[in-house]
Amino acid sequence: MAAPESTIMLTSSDGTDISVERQVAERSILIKNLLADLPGEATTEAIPIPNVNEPVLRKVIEWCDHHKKDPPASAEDDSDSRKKSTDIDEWDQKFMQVDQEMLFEIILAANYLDIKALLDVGCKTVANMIKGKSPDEIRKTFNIQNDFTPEEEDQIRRENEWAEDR
Amino acid sequence: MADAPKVLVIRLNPISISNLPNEIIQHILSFLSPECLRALQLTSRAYKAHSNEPLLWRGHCKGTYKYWHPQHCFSRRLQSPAGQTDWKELFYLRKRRDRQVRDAMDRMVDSMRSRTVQIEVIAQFMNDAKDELLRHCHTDDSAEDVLARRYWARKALTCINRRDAIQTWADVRDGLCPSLERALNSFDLFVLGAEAATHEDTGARLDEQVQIFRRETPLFEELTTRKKAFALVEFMRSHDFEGMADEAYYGALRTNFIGIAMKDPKHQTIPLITVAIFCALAQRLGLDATPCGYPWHVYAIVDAPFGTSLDGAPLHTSDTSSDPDRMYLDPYRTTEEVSISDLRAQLSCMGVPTDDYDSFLAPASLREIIFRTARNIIGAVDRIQVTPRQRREDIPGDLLLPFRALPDIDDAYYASLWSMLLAAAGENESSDTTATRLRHYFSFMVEHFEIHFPEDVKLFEDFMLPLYASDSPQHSDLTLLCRTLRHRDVAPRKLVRRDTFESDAVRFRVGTLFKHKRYGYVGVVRGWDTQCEAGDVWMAQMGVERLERGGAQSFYHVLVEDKSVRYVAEENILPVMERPTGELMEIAGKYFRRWDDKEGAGGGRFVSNLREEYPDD
Repeated sequence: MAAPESTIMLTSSDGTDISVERQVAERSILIKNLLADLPGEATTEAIPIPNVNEPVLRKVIEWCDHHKKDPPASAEDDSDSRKKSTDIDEWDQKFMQVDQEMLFEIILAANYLDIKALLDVGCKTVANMIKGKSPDEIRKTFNIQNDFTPEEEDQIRRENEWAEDR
Repeated sequence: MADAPKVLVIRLNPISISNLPNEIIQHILSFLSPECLRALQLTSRAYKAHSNEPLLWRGHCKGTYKYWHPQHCFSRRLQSPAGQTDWKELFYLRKRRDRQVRDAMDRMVDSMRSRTVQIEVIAQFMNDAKDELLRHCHTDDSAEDVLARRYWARKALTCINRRDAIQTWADVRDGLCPSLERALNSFDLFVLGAEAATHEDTGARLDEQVQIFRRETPLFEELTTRKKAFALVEFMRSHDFEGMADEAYYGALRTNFIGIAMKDPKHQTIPLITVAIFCALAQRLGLDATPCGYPWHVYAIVDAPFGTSLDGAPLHTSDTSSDPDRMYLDPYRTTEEVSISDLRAQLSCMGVPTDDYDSFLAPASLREIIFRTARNIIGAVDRIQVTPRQRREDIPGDLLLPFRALPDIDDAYYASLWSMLLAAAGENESSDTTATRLRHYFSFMVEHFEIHFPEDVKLFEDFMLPLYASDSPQHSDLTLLCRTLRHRDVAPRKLVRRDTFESDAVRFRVGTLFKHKRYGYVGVVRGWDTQCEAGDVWMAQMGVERLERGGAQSFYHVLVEDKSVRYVAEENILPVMERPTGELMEIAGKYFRRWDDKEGAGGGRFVSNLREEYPDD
């Protein structure tokens, strides 16, 4: 177990070195496993994070820093039985108030870096943007092109009703 | 877009929801309800495909519904690849059944007629109806029909539980071999209503103990069979599974139920259930363990695997007979092995003929265990019934469990009758005593059915009628009773109006909470007659002419806290100004929609659900 004050260096895809507390960086299972595999001295070298650019990486680190004291997620969490709540705590909600592009970048980075809790918060944020909206409103929100013919759309509607009312 | 500045065109490949990897889109969608998915699939072809992914719907099936009809083979489906099941269709099948259950529930709550018919509509779905029924059982206190809805949902739910239990016992009769824990847990399905321990609940609690045991016994697999059995008995006796910590509990009704025992932190049980728990745990650990059919006290038998001794030495068939190496244990009393010579000596003291020793020292059949349990339960019920009501609280048994954890004696008794009649049906009925006993039980059963469980008509038609030859008196009695009950269920109720007589002739309305002036019990008025209609014999017995106002005053049909239904003269009715107890609230759902604090003469009143009989009350 590393001393909490030890720091490591991460290099973003656009070549910026960012110094991070080791404990914070280890919220990422990817980095944690990488560090575990490296011999002690090698941790002084910067770790390249080729898929994440500087602004996104800084944002991710900000999240990890805030959550560094969280208990680690239980290892084999069955995704089906886990309660599918879309509740997000207040700090995370504020943290996720970013434009859509940044939001998706954070989700991708969390996925790549294997930070389950951050991935969940990101996905819940997107899910909340879909919740309670009509198909039209969803299209507008995410700029989705409607490629159905009117007949197709009609048929899906009918199928939906049929599924429940039969 | 032709005149858009070029620099924007270069930046026009921002990441959007549509180019996220599939697995992330699925993760996002996994947080959406089925309703949201319906809207989403109308946005575009790509999202239609995304929102129909089997895994999503598998998640909804699993997350929304706990209980599944065996026809779905639900747990096997969960193990197979998600694409092999049309999970979305399965989900909507359950949704449609929920609605059918809801409709039947609404009809049951709103009309006194055809309630048995509605229960049958619901019960045909078996486990598929349970999740929806449980929601109705937990109807919010503020609902206008809360008491009636909870009551009838409970009725339907318990009817399903009973069918499940009865089917298990019928399987035993037919020579199929359900597990010991299932046969015993079927008694649990008859009691505690919505809180009954299901087979799954009890199975999961047993699994949990096995896990704890394995954790605490890391070298278990390396032990010999004998040492494994000792390790398990020691584990049980050091983890509150030694039966009775307090002998005062001995014979308490609830100690006969394996499901209640597993739920109870102190696991108070009689020896039979202690041994059954031992066997259930031992079998999970790969031991060959069965209860022994010894008289009075149940022991556990553990057999060595074929061809070896209990201590792991190879056995040559030439040294011994083909019988396995066997040991006896008494997890209820001791961690020590019980020697077979002691058991034989005891049999000899009891005066058992030597020729019968083998049968008493052999594993008990499931049927025997069911019989013993049923008899033990009837014994416990008898003991409660001879105890005066005021003293029943002294009977220990429910100290550690919350309200409603004590089995109802009518439910428990009913379970015993069913199990005995079904299990006995496969037995050789040559002996006269058995036949007499069964005729006896049959007559109790018919009475119990009519008074307490008229909604079980279909269970009697499906399981009890076929037990008797079509020319037997039992068959014709039962057929007639079923027909009568069905007729009673659908027949219109006789109207009793207030405007046909002087309005003050009947002072109290349906729903009035009262205390009996002489006997002090609390009950609620559920009907009335303008004069005593109980017949001369009853009137003479009860001394009606000694009443101040005799038989010419109005008389009330009342429901009392202890579940009894009585007939009371008006002069003995003393309205009370307090809220009814939880017990009364629960049973009052049979006749009333809710308790209303503001109704009545200031003290509140039950709101009638008997308008088809008493439209003016």
